[in-house]
Amino acid sequence: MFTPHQAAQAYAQAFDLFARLYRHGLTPALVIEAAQLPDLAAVAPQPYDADEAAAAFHTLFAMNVFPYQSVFLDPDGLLGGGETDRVRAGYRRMGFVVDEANEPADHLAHELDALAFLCQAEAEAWEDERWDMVARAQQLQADFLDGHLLRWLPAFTAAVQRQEEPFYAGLAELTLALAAERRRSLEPGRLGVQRARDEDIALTPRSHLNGAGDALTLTPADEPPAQRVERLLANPQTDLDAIAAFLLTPAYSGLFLSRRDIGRLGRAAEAPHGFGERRQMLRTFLRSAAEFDRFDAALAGLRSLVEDTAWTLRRWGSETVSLSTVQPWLDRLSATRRLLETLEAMSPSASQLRNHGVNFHQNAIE
Amino acid sequence: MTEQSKINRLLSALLGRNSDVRRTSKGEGGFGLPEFASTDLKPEPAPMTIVHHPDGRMSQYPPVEKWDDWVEWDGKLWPQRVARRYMLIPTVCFNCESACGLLAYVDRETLEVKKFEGNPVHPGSRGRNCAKGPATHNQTYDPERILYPLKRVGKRGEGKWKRITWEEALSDIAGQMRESRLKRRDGIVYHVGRPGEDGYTNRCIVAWGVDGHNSHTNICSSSARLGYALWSGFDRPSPDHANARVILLISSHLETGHYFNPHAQRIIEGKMAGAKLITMDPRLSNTASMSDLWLPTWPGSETTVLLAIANYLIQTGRYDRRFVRRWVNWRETLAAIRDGKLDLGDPALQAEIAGLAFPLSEDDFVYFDRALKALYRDFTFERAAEEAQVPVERIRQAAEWIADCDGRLAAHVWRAASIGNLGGWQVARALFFLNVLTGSVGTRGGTSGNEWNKFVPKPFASPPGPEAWNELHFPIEYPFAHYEMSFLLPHFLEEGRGSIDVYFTRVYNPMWINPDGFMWLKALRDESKIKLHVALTPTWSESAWFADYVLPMGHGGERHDLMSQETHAGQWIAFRQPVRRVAMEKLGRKVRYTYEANPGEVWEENEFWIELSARMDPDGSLGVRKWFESPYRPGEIITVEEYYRWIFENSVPGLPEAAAAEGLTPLQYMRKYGVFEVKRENYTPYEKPAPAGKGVEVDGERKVGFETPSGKLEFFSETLYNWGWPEREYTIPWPLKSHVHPDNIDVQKGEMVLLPNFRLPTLIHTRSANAKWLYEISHKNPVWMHPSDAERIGVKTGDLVRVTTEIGYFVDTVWVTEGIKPGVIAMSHHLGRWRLQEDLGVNPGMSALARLEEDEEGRFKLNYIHGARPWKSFDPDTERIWWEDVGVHQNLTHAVHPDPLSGAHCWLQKAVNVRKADPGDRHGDVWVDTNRSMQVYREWLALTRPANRFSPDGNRRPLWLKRPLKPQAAYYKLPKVAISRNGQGGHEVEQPVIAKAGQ
Ligand code: SF4
Repeated sequence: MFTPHQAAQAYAQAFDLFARLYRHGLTPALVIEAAQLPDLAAVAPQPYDADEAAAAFHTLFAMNVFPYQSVFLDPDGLLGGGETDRVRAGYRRMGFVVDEANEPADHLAHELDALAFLCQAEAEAWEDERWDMVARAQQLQADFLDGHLLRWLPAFTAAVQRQEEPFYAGLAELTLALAAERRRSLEPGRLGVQRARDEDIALTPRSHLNGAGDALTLTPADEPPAQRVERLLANPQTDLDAIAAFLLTPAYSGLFLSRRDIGRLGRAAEAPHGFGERRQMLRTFLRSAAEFDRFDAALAGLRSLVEDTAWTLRRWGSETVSLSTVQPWLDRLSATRRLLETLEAMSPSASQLRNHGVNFHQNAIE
Repeated sequence: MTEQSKINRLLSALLGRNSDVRRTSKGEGGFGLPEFASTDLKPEPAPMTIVHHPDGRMSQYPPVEKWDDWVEWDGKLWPQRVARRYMLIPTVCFNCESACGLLAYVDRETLEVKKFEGNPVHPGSRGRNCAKGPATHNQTYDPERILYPLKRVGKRGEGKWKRITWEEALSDIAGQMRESRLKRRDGIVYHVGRPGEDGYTNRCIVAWGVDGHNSHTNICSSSARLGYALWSGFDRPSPDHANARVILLISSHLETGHYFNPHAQRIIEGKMAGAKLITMDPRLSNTASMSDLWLPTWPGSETTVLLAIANYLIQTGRYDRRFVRRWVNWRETLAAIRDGKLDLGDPALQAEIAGLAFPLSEDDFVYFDRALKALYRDFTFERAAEEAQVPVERIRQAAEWIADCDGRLAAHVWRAASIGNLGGWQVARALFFLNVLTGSVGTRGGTSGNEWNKFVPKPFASPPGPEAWNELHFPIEYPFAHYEMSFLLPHFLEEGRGSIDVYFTRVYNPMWINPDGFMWLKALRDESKIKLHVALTPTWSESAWFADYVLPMGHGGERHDLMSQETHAGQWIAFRQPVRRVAMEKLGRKVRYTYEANPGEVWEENEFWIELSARMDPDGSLGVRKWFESPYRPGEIITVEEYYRWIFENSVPGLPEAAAAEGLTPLQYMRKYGVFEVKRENYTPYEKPAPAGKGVEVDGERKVGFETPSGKLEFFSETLYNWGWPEREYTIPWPLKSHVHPDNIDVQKGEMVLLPNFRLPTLIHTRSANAKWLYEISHKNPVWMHPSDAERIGVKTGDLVRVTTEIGYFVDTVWVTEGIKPGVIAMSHHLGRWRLQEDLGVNPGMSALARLEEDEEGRFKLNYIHGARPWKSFDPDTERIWWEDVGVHQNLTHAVHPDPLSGAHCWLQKAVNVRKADPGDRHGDVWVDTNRSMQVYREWLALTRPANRFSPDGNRRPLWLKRPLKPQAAYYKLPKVAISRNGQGGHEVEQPVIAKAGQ
């Protein structure tokens, strides 16, 4: 076992290495580093081809699963909104300077870098025997993990798992385990420094509910997913596009649907899935499924995606992270389940839906 | 293993290893819609710069003194009053050849560009722009623009790319250039569409020591160029529309044409002052609709109509005898008549002239007058009216106006009929004949040579012409080509005439824009023929898809260039600037490379060429490096700023003085204004006294004259006569029978003429697909068809028609309109963009997703899967794409038609059949048989009279004719062995029978 000091050093290196992997992909330089870690070496592509690896990286993170906190947590499901600002505020609080020239603040690589930065700071504090600073650095890590990274990492990891890229599937699962393990090790009493809570609070306000100084609290419009589903179902204006929008917003649906996922759903349901951005693809898929009597099959595909994802998350909840970390995602998924079930029940008429301007609700229920 | 122990193992491994923790961050993203800062400052009333346009309108601009710090309300936020603080940086539009001035509004805090407006101090555009100018903003913030260098992964054309660093790209490409250059001097090719700059890149190509320039000229202006060059030595006209009495256009200058915005405003200005506007065009263009007289001539009949007008001037004696006597080579022409080189069709007069005492006296001019009368007497209005299918009164009216023009005939042809027809160069020659007859050459209100009105300064050092001759560009079959036979490149490659080591396509999409695109496809993907293809482009194109490297280059506000154009009778020089870089520098930040200021990792070309050339020859042993060393810091590589600084300090007359008067350095002056007026007016420069030992004698005085062998305007071309074209229809202005002459089109059999070469005013050739505003205005290209034709084949507007060409067919919707001549169908250029992958390639809102299939026998099929679709990006506008029809890619079905003289691709196509589409046909379908392509190519190739059989002096090309980047004279010599097939040699070349020329 490590001393707390060594642990901080090791975590700093691990977060740093992972950050670089998410930033650059498996470049020739990084493949050498990764090879030294048995768990990564096991999933690294054999034989290694730099071009293939670069293409795989690009396909996965630029075209399919977008590694940004805002994509997973923002009620808009869009990049660069309130969530990104919250992340920025979090960095400011810890004194981490983020270079946003190429990626916005909430890119996974930046978040891992921020943790590496805190672990490094902690390690240095151990060396300098600055216990107050150790405590502060630990507190900031815990806050950042709770307020940011761990809030979305499970769903991100679940999404990456489906993308048929063994290396990144392994990397993502390892990232989740690493973050969870770090969080566990920060529980009071485990790392040798008893935190003086009073002092801590003065020094380091809790991040996610206490950003008053930055006026950046959790989006107030953030509606519980179950409620959102009820509202959708009750609203006579709800059409397939609104349902697509719901499904595509991980903050509500608990799912992240990549282009590849939608493509797979389309093939399974034998309905065309269009192209382009995910929203466009899913809309096309749902509309054409409705039009060509494939709506049941479409719903069934979505249902099994929900079940699979929930199963995976539950497994992590018992093995890797704490149950409370995955619970919000399970809640979201069960809201989605409820939505899909309701649609299934209406299905005979739903399958008669036609493309444009159709009011889903009225057609379906009346 | 538990999760915990797994992590422990990971951590131990990490602690045990020796890692260097680097914290670099490079990744995608960070690019989006511009954001602007608000300011507490309020806009202050300032005396605005008012430009009074000659047509009576007036525009206001912020005064120059305020450009560095300009506050105005943000109009988009109205009714809120939010003030913004800008720096106004001038630059030059890059969206056509006109080089209009632009003024970028750069936010002083965020450095984002709010808008591009006109630059009021620019003498060519005078503060105005066409729609494409401000659309520079769309291009800058195009969500699909390429931000990082990409390298192909997998097979060419497979669509797999990876991002690489510029250093990787530069060193690999430079390495391959070096390797090629060590082996040969024709292995590197730079293929450019419209250059959009003067001289910079050409200098680089020459510095590499290769004959490697390739342009799009032969699908554009080469016939017009040859027509003008044969007369005068200059290869393009510069009409002074604003002061003309008659403006004669064989084109649609008010909407497109060279130089669209600067010319359009001056044409209207001339018209407001009373000029008559005459337009020849089978299509009712916007220009035709604004004309006083529209002559919807049958394609190919233009020369006859022009000669009928000439004949009228000649027979009635209403031409400028003094000018013709002084400036036309009539003495040489009469000598040619004497020697039997020119048949007058009047034996008695021919004998009389043969009996004259040579050398001739001034009075003998009467014989020339009589010769003209004899030569052209059959060109009656009636004959012209019949050939052109135009009412005879209209031609007579045109002739009357021209006869009355008083030396002020502004006339222009650039593409249109000259590039449309076999022998189209005679259209330009016949048109300029009218300038000559009316004495409207270089006069106020007349037509000048472009060089008189264009100013290209010398750089600090100019490498000598290449010691090589590129056979793929200037093959021996085309000694008169103006210029490179660029559109035949794939056919030459297919024939095994050579290969290319490093092929740069620069903001150019050869596979899409050239005729016979599938031949290009075959060539581009063949790695044995084109070994390395580097696409320099800001945006995806069909050709970039087949590149090995795709390197992002800056738009109009992201690069340095110098540009001057003959927009009117005066000279100016404009400075294109990377506006964010300039703003950053003005705000005190140091910028070494423009990419530091551009989005993503977008480079500017100038710096790319410097860095590339330096890497090509790191130790100077190739003799390349020295041309890229700073004139200010000996031995060190030049910066782009130094390059222009030197020019402004040393080669622009008057600029250093003007700058000094304002307390600025010349570079600062150009950074501030973006333009400098070199000459206000420049009329009849050929009349100026010649420097000693130069020029030509006129009425006993030495004059500057023209750059022709005789120093005069050449009516009879001795050059053509000597180079194997002795017939009258070549040696003097005379009609040539077009390939779409009515004799060749059997309307009853369903044959028609397809006019494929007109442009819509909002299109930037193949670069519009990254400008959302422009595409919203025009995105489809239906087939224009006259109601009588529509009735004959039984279609109405919106129906699908199948148009069969010599090599294939396409399917498009039809638009029934009286605006096109019966028997002719028309279809606009530049639309019908496609991509092969849903999420990569040309913008989804501007292109169709297509499926491409090919069989074993060289037949290709392109089918649209679907048209434009909205897509999601950081720009909400991309979700608002409401159109689906993005047009049909007709060029794929065009056979190549190389004119045997000018080398132009004669764009008009014989539509072998035009009919209602078959039941299975779908919009956008294209089918082509490339075997037919090669067959048609060979038929046209057979029309040539190659230099190896006809050259009178053992050269490949008449030395006096222009050629881009002229090789040294020794390399004009015909080769002894044919075409260097990668150094493997070929068969012996038949040598010219020199004696033939003099007979
Ligand atoms: S005419 Fe040409 S240069 Fe002028 S604004 Fe339009 S596109 Fe730009």
